[in-house]
Amino acid sequence: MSVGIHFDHVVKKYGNNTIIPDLSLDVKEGEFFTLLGPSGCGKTTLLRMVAGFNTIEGGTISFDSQVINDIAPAKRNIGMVFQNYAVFPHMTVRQNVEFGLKNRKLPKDEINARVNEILETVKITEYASRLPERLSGGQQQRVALARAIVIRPNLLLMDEPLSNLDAKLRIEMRNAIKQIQNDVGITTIYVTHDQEEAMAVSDRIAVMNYGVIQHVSTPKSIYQRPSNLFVANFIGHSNTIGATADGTAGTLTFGNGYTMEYDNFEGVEGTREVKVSVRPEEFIIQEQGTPGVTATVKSSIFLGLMTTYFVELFNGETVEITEKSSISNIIPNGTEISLGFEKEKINVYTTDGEKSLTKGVIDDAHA
Amino acid sequence: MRTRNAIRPRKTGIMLVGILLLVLGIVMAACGLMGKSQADYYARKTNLSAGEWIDYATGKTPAPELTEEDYRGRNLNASGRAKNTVLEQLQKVTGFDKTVMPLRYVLMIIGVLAVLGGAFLLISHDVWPMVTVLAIIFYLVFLIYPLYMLLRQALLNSEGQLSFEMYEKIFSKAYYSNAIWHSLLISAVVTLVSVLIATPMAYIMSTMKIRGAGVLQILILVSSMSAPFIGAYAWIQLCGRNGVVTNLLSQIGIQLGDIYGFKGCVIVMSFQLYSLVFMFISGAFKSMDNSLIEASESLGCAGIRKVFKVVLPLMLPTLLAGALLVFMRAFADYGTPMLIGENYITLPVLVYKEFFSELGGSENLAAAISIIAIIITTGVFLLQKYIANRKVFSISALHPVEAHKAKGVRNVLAHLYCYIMVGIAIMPQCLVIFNSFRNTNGRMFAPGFSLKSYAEAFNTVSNSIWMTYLMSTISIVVIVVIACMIAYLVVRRRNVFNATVDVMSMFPETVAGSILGIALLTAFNKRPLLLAGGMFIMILSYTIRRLPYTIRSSAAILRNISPSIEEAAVSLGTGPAKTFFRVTTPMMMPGVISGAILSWIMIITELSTSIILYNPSTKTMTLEIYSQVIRGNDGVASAISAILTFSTIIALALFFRISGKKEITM
Repeated sequence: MSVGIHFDHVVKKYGNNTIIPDLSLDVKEGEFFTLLGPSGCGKTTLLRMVAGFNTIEGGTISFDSQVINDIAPAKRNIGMVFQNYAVFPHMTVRQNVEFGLKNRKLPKDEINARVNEILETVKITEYASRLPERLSGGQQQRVALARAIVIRPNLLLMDEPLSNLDAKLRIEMRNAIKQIQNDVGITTIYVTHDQEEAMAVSDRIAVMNYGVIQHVSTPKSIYQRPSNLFVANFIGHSNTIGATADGTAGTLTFGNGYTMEYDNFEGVEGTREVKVSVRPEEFIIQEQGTPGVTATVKSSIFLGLMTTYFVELFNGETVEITEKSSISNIIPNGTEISLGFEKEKINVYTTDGEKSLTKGVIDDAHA
Repeated sequence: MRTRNAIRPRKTGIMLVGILLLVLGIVMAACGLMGKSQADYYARKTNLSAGEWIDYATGKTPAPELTEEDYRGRNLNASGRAKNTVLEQLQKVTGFDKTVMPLRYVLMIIGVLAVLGGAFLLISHDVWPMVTVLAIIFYLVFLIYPLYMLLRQALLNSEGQLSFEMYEKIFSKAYYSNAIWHSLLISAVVTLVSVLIATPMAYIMSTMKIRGAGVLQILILVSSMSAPFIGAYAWIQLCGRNGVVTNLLSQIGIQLGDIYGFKGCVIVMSFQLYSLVFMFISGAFKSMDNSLIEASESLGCAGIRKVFKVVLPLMLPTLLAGALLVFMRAFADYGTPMLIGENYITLPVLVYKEFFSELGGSENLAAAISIIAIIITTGVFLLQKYIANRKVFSISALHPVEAHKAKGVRNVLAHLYCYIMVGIAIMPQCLVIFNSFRNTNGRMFAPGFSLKSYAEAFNTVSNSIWMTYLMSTISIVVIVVIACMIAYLVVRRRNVFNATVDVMSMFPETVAGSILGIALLTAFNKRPLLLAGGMFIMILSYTIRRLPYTIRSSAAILRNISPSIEEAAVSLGTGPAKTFFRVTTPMMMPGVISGAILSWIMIITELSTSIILYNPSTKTMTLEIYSQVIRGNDGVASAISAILTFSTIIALALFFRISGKKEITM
């Protein structure tokens, strides 16, 4: 039943305002695919184009090989979960869930059987006869999910479904959503601006900015080998340090004169200026005098599992470093230190941040 | 929602003493004043001085012999009946005065002191209990007492004894009971027609792009805000016995049916009142989340099925609330049935006729009918409240419903429907504006255009034009002040007393204008509470009638202001009163002022209360239009109507400017 979705040079415009200039993308059958990006990046717009609530100004969207540009929303056989749930407030939970099945004119027995089964799956059987106003946010979300998948859609669309829930419930629900999607095996497109949530649920993630796809890959690949600086900064936290790369010698030289061997370059011939992106956990704190980037500890925060240090580099820039907390004392403010790097983890970019100069980037969008 | 108890247990004692002192003081001071003012009153009416009256009232001198010459007062001279009334009055008050008179200065001084003391006790740690007390006194005197007097009047027979004679009369004579039936029938049919016109229109205009939708919205508003009877007047001019359309059609051999009576009332009222339902439903569309419609479509339910299965059920509470408001307006309308109803007499018309009729009318009967009307409208009002509260679906409207461009026949039909319906609704306004610029010759329209009607209007009735603006403006200032305070009490200081104030302040909404007028007149047409016939009672009636709307809109605004803002002010050392005036009020103002502008429009276009309470010096524009229409002076009537319409449009423009809103919710 599930379909693969193909976006072919899709364009979205509101009047003269172009939201999505030219977007191509393949979502595989049965995949949990997430559109991730800051607000206003066009991810919800794209989702609503798939659902049929937004027009498509150029290009095609197709389910398997069928172009759906001109098919009415009601005929696309899509299940959609809305940000505010959009549970019909005048119907009970059961009426909400069977709404789509009744529209499909299924026999009564089958409707009942399928509704009961899905209520069981999403664990809201005991609320079946309640009105939505007497349900909590999480329960309403489950109703919306049940209502969307009970019709056995070709495709499940979710538009920031967890953004109205509190933090604890959000984690509980995202596990539930992942679990249910796994069980049902529907192709799913999920929209969120929360990178942690995206990593937790997705098979693959597309990071978007200004209507352009920046990187498409698995959560692990996106986190470890971001295709550009925007992705590196948007997924998790990254510090950026300027350096000179020498592709022939295989070295990175920093402003204080520290030269480090680095053999993971891709497309670096001779020497050039680069930006090195280092995640807080990719620094190694060493004693003063050890070869490395010289720095001074400015302040620290003890977070239990980790300890975060704010450190001023030799050039006055501040970087954030996290270390696993140890039983010994926290490094006092003002201590001079020397920073090393976990070489295999750090990433190197062009100075404009647009292109990775590191081996191992997997990007399905620009493959 | 956060509520707080204004009266904390520890301070209840002081509070009660304060309230007691305050009330006692007011009563004492009033008694003291009454003795003096009564003496003054009789002194003005007769050739005796106030001193002589006081001597008489305190028993120092025997009752004076009154001769014809003693009466100088306009209402009293040469009228044997009036003379007797004065004597009766005198005898009634003498007993009271004999004890009160000598004490009056003492009473007044103690009274004032008690008031000051009570007020101080109340204000000493919080100003709001004082406001509560004053609000309760205000409503007791100016609402509950008049309604009580009306009820008393209704239960008295012609000999002044308590009986149900009036009701027996009403229900035994078809003339009276028919009026009730007529009113109910008209209101029900008007409500139905309004809903049938407005619902499709609101749906079309919320979901489809209609060219000139903004203009249409404004026209709808203007038509709903116009004086009620202008519609009837315009329809008569067009389709009446000697109407333009009637004559045109009869020339080509088509006889237009009679527009007078039931049919006319329904046409006129429906086309004026459907705008209310329209505004309600449009508002509901604005607050409805488009996701619900999208969810329905993505589940395979689209088109007309979607409307019936999802859209209408969600709209139903709002639809019913709007419909019941239309019912109440139609039920209370006095001007329309008076002009176009002819022999089809409705309840407000009957009340008016009974109350003021020179021949065979009975004030008691009018009161009795009024009570029936109040019971009916209160029932409808409670029903509306019940429905409105029963199923309120609060959905956070993240994605409001958007209008899309329709194609082909659907598009053409949608446009036609909206244009025709709005066109008919706005026709009366256009007609009177057109007529106001026509040339006149005496009372007849002559060929060509001129400003003669306006010149004549300003020459002959300029007083009523200025009176209208003066009284409406004073009323609105009073209304805004009272409404802000009561809204604050109701929202921020919820307790039993303030809940009572809330209920009392909303009650006038259920009382038809003419009936409230009669109640006020019944209560305040006699000494010592003689208020009738002046500007005060007009302003009072406007204030009482328009307060519910303004309080409600102010309260709605206040609910959106977080209490923590006030708490911040208080924590920075500001007292409750100062917090209200320096922090809360400025934040409320834009909303309150825009609410007040709408109230102002309703005041300048109101007829039913004014027609009962006015005297020649307080005649308003609507009354003037009405009497000019009756006199057949169409030019002047049109000119004043046009002035009224222009005022309405300017005020509406001001409303949109201040509130920054694009629509009005009732």
